[in-house]
Formats: sequence, structure tokens, C-alpha cells
Amino acid sequence: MDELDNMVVEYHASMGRKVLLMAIFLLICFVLVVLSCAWGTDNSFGTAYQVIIDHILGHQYEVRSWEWWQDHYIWENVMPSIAVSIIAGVGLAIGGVVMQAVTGNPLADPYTTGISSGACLGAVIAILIGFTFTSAVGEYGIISNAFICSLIPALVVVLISKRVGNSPTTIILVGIAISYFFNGMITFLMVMANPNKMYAAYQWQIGSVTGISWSEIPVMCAAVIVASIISYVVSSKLDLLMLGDESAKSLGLNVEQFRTLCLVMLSILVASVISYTGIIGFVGLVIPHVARFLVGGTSRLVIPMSMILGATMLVFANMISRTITFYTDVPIGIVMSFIGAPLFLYLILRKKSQRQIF
Amino acid sequence: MRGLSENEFVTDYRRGNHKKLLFVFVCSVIAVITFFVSLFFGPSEITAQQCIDALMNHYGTITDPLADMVVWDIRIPEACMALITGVALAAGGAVMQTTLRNPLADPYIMGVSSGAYLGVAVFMAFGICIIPGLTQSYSIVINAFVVSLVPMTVILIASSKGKISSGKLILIGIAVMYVFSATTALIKVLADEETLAEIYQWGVGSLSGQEWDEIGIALVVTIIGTFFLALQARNLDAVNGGPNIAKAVGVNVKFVTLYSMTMVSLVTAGVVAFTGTIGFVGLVAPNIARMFVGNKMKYLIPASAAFGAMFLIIADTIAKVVTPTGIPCGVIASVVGGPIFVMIIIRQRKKALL
Amino acid sequence: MELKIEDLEFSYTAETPVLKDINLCLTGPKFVSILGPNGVGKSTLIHCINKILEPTKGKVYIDGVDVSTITIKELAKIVGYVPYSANDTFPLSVVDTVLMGRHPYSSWKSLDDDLKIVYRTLRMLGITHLAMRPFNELSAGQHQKVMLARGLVQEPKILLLDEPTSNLDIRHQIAVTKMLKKLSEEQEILVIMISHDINIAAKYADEIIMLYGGSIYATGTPSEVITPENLQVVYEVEARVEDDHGRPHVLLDDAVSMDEEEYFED
Repeated sequence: MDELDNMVVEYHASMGRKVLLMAIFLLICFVLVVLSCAWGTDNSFGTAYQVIIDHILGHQYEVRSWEWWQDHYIWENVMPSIAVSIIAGVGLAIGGVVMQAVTGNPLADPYTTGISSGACLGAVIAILIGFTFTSAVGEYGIISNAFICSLIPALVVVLISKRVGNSPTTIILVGIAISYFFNGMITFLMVMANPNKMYAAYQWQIGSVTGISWSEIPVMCAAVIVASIISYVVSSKLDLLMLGDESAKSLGLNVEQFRTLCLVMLSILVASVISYTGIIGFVGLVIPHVARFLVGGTSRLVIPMSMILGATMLVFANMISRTITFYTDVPIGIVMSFIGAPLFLYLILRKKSQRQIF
Repeated sequence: MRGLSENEFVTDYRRGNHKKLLFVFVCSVIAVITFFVSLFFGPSEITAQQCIDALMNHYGTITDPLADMVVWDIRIPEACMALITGVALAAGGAVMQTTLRNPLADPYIMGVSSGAYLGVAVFMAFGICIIPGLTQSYSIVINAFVVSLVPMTVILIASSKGKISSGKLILIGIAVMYVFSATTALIKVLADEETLAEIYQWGVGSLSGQEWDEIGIALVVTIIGTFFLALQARNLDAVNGGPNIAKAVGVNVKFVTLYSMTMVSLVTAGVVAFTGTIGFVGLVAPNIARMFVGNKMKYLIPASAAFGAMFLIIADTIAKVVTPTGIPCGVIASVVGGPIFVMIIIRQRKKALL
Repeated sequence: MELKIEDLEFSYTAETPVLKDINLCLTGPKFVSILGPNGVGKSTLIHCINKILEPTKGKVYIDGVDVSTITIKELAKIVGYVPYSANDTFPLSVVDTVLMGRHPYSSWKSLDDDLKIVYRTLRMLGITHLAMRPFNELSAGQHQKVMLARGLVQEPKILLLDEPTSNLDIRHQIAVTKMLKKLSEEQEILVIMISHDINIAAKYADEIIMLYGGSIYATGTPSEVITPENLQVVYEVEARVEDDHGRPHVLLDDAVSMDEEEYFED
């Protein structure tokens, strides 16, 4: 069976190529991380690399020596935002992949069910009115509010699905209606507020990866890791979903149940990320398409690639944000918009010969 | 309609159409009634009697200048603006939805809202106006209008360059919109608190604070634009059937699409320049009108316009009654309209499942 | 194997049933064709068999087991499905598309075995040269073959097909139908195909089920079912049926008059 073996070999070879591509981008991501540290501290690439490796290896420095300061600065000032960038990048990219599969819509992003307006409303309530659902105060109050409120849209979608099914169109329409409602409420509160507070509320909404401390990261990280594992495990089911409901059912997938499961997982994932960072756009929309373009359509490959690309992109955006922030304070959400929009345009305009996305 | 004679068939068809016109009529009447009701409410402390007197005496001898000013220079303009804006946005929404064959389209889809917002943000933050030396309010209007048309221009240029499908054109519009939003966000983030508040306020949309000449311009723009759109009604019906069908009946799809979308953008820009971006009406009014009068543009445009006007004036009146300090009516529209829209969706989807 | 349907009824709303009084028993490997005018419920019937739809009344038994007691994943190992059209939004390569048919069986370790099964099926259908091509770059005929391959790699005992040849040119219509007949014999599958072409179905099918008004109007061999009388009632056409090597061949004469004269006396 030479031909047969050939085909199997070729299939594995193409998979191997794609894994190699993933490895390359992983390397790029790592390089960018080190570069960020180097730029942030006016060090050379090599020095920054050394400091990072040493820290990971548990090397202790003489307190207050030059090395100690370098280590301290990198790990207390630069690394947190990098860590958040990676986690958020991974989380939002996966969110995009899953949401596009669940809705069968290439223009979907993780916020399609209105979750972003929910989170904003929660945060705005905390900032402008000072009311928190968990009676926590300050930063934690905002985060917990955002988290709780961001789950409301998902709840509404699930409840409505019970009555009319959760076809992709229903999900999208309900998401739109929810966004309108919540955004209306947000506008109401913002308009009533005095300019100082409104500024703070607005600041929160724009995505940012700075100002998050190490103690807050584990929660985000845990959610993203769990979601990544789940997504990867069910990746073949995601593929089935994209075939259309009939075909998916005929191949053994319980479509309604699975969609609901995905929506719930997505909500918790996205809520965990944006409660801390605010709304970072584009990652969820564009990264899945780039990943799909590089490694082909099966979710088993697209998910890991999206994770890597998402992390890389946000680390890169963070790097730019930090550089510009030397002059003025530009959060990552805005940088991402400026990177994402042209990228989006480019993906649309690719000529047919180069394998179109849309 | 079995076994009807030809004449009976025609009469039956006409009767169906009369029902549609009835919808338009009813909405218009409600709009007008609400118009007058709204004049009795507002931030200023004026009694109902004073209002009535002010209305009666305006062209005669004015006995109460304060009431007269409140009614004629503040409330009536605002109510007029509500009607005009409702008509413009709803009709625009109807045309967009038909042209793009997508019930989720709204008149801002060519980037009008993000463009206007950017233009205004630029002026408020940097004081740059496209035509220098104008008063504050005119500068805002000019900036908003001109910049709001930039995305549309980009799309028109792109479409003239070669064969780009209308799906792609929409995506290009979306991409341009993203770029504009990003720039506006940047400006907002860098601005100081007061400026941010101002920009935000404008973006929310407000019907108040209009001068009569502004209303005049908005009215003219809306009437002319809607008129030109109505002329295209039959062509739009053809486009709605799908590109193949449209071509088969001799309609130049690309031309009609671009023409309509441009007209809608111009009208929308003309209105938004004065009021700011009021959302929701353009999306919801045509959908609801469609439930009553069907998809034929000859009825859908007037029906959407009538419903849109009615919807906005009611929203505005509620806003004035509930909080005299003035919630922007756009907020009421979204907050009240959102859940209603959801319920409509549920009912429609339930029907669609059958 | 045996497919038995008892008193099946299906309706979307309370009032109008799409299917009613469906009683059917199909045994052994066979090539069965379902015929009937548009909208009569052919697709609905098929969807009730593989649990895409749930019948409002009645039961479906496969080898004596009530289908409602089997999970859809288990059912997917028994009943293969080739849909009328394929979803194109996120296209995969041909291999990956066909590979999805192995989903009910696949585990983390089975990839190579699954690939071999895929390849054998591609070879049987003559499309190995398309293996790595993206699905959305194929012609309609190639599309159909890939969909067929996906259904076949499910290694089903029953294969349901919803008008698999309606988008193909005549050569492929005949070739695919002929191949399905051969499959039913060689792989011992019960092949149930909704057909739009009466003559091709008549030429190859072992049994014909004719649906009319939501119920089964006639079943039997092609010669038994395809008669001028039946055609007149079910399809509302006037036709002659001639014998062609033991199989009926339909020659169409006219459509039954479309006036509403039957409703009114003059």
C-alpha cells in the first residue's frame, strides 16, 4: 500500500510543518518578551535575557546591588504587564476562535454576546456610584462588579436559548439587543457623572495591561489555562459545529448542549480577562483568521496557533505602548486598535490568489 | 384568491395596500400628538396654561416673553428635531437594510458615526476646524459633517478602482471605521477631563439646543435626501431580491447600491452633524415597520420614517418627563428599546422555527 | 440489518403534520430510493431516522433497538448522512473534511488508522488527487463526492443521502447512483437515497418508496411503484411507462391541468 502510506506520511509532514511554524512564533514571542524587558530598562538584549533566566533559576542577588535592582525592576515593573499581555492575548484569541465556531460567523469576536458592555456597566457602576455587589472596595470592587455584570448577558442568552433554541443568529441578535441596553445604561451613568469620575470610568473601559499586580494575575491565569485546555480537548467538536447543525448532529454532536457549554465557558473566560484589563479589541476578531491562514482550518491546530499569536501580538502591542507612554499615556487597547484595523483591512484586501479570508 | 375575477383581484390588492397606508397614518398622527404633548414638559418651570398661551399668542401680541421663548425657541425646536431625526435615521436604516439585505444594518454603517465623532473630537480637543473662524456650534457641525463623509468617500474610491464585491465594501467601511474609532479613542484618552466630558456628551446625541436655522438645514437635507431615496424605491426592491434577480430585471446593482448608500450617508451626516449620534432608531424602526407593511420600499420608507419619528418623539418626551434635567433621548431609546427588541426577536424566531 | 418505522408522525406546529402514518420496514443490504414531489417531507423523514429531528409520534427501530434510546454519537456509527449542501464558511482540506466522518470513532491515538480509512474511501471514489486541496475550491461534482466520502467513512450500516446528485451533470448522476448501488451490495449497507430523477432511480434502485401528502403512497420494486396511475396522483403528470430491460422508464406527456376548474362549476 505504497500510495496509502505516502498519503499518511504527507499528512503528518504537513502537520509537522505547521507545528514548526508554531514553534517559530513561540520563539518570536519569547524574543519580544526579552526585548520588552531590555527596552524598558535601557539594557542590552543579552543582559535582560540573563536577568530573566537567572530569576527563573532562582538566583539570589546581593540586596541592592546593581543586579538586584535590575532584577527587581524587571520583575516588578515590566514583567507584570508582559504576563498580563500574554494571558490576555491567549484568552481573547481562544475566545475569538470558539465564538466564531459557535456562531459560524467569521466576524464574531469574544464580545459578540454583549459581554463587554456588561463588564463595562459593572465597572462604571463601581466607579461612578460606588456600589459594588460584593461590598468590596476600591480596585477589587471594580473588578468583582465587572466580572459579575459581564455574566449577565451570557445568562440572558442561555435563558432565551431555552425558549427559542440557540442558533447562531439568535445568539448574535440577542447579543446586539443586550449591548444596546447595557450601553444605554452606561451612557446614562456617564452623562450624569462629573468630568473627573467620567474620566476614570472611561479610562477603565479602554483596555490596559498595566497596573495589575502579581497577586491579581493567578485568577486570570487559572481561567485562561482551564479554558485553553477545555478548548483544545473539544477542538474536534468545534470543527463539527462549523459544519452546520445538521451535519454536526449526523456525526454525533449534541449541538444545543455543546453550544451552551461553549458559551458558558467563553463567558467565564472573557469575564476573567476583561474584568482586569478592560476592553481590548481586535485580538479575538483578527487572530483566529491569521492563525487559520497560517496553519489551516482544523481547530486542533488553530487553537494552539491562536494562543501563540495572541500572546505575541499583545506582547508586541505592550512593547509599543510602553515606548509611547514615555511621552504620553497610551494604553494597549488603543495601540491594538491601530495595529488591528490595518491588519483587518489587509486581510480583507488580499488578492484571490493568496487565499482569501473573507 | 381563488376564482377571483381580475377586478376583484385588483381591489383585493389595493385593500392590502390601504392597510399599510393606515399604519403610516396612525404613526404620523401619534407623532404629531406627542409633539404637542412634549411641549408641556421640560426643565423650565412653565405651567400648561402658559404653554397654551405662548402657542396662541406667538404671531399676535406676546404677553409672556419668557414662556414664549421657552416654547418657541427651546421646546418646539427640540420636538421638531426629534421628528426630523427620526425620519432621517429610520428611512436611512430602511434603505441600508434593503440594499445590504441585512436586517441588522443601520444608517451608520458607512462610517458616518465614527467619522462625525472624530471630527468633533478633533475640534474639541485641538480647536481645529475645517473652515476656520466659525462660531463654536458651526465649527462642530462642519467638522462632523465633513469628516463623517470620509469613510464613505474611501469606499466610493475603492469601488471605482475595480471589481470589489459589495460584501468587501462593507468590510472596508468597517475597517475604516475601526481606524477612526481608534484615533478618536486616542484623542479622548489624551484629553483633559472637561474635554473628554464634552466629546462624550456630543457622542451621546442630543436633540436639544438647536437653533431654528439649524433645524431648517436639517429639514431641507432630510426632505431632499428622502425624496431622492424614494425615487429609487423600485430599484431597491429589485436589489433586495438578490444580485441575479436585479440584473435580470435590468437594474444596475452596483450603481443603485452605491447611490443609495451615499444618499443615506449624506442625510445621516446632515442630521448627525447637529444632533450627535443617536443610535438604535435606524436599526429598530425599519424592522418594526417591516412587520406591519412588508418589504416593499414604496411603503417601507414612509412607514419607517413615520415610526421613527413617532419613536423618537415619544422617547424624548419620556426623557423629559422622567428627568427634567434631561437624559439624552438616545439613552431612553436604547434602554427601553433594547428589551423590546429582544422580545420582538424572540417572537420572530419562534415563528421562524415553525 | 433492519430499519423499522412505526406510526411515525412529525409536525412543526400543533395543527399541520408534515409526516403522518409512516410505517416502513426495510431489511438487509439494499438500495432504496425515496421519491416524491417537493415539500412532501422526504428530507423530514430522513432527519427523523438519524435523530436530527425528533418525531412527534411513533418510533424508529434499527435492528430492533429504539433509536431514541441510542445516543447520537453511537447512532453516528450506525447511520451515515450525506446532506444536500455543505457549509462553506470555514473551509478545510478534503482530507480534514472527510476525516470528520471518523469523529464518532476517533480518539487521540487513532489518527493514522482514520487516515488510512479516509484514503481508501477517497480512492474508491477516485478523488485521491484532491486530498490536500481546500474544500471550497472544488467543483460541484467533487464537492458531492467528498460529502459522500465523509458519510462512508462513518462505516455505517445505513447510509442516508439527501438528493446527492441534484447538482451534478448527467454523467456523474449516473455514475454516483451506480456506485451507491454497488456499495449497497459490496459493503452490505442499506442505502436510502432521496432522488429527484425518477428514471435514474428506477434504473438502479432495489426498492422505491413514494411519498405523497406526508404519507407513504406506495412501496415496492420500481416496476410496481412507477406506474402511470401513481405518477398522475403523486406528481400530477400524465406519463407513459415503458419497459427497459426489466426496469420501468418514464416518458412524460403533460402536466395535469393547473386550472382551478375542479373547484368551480360553470
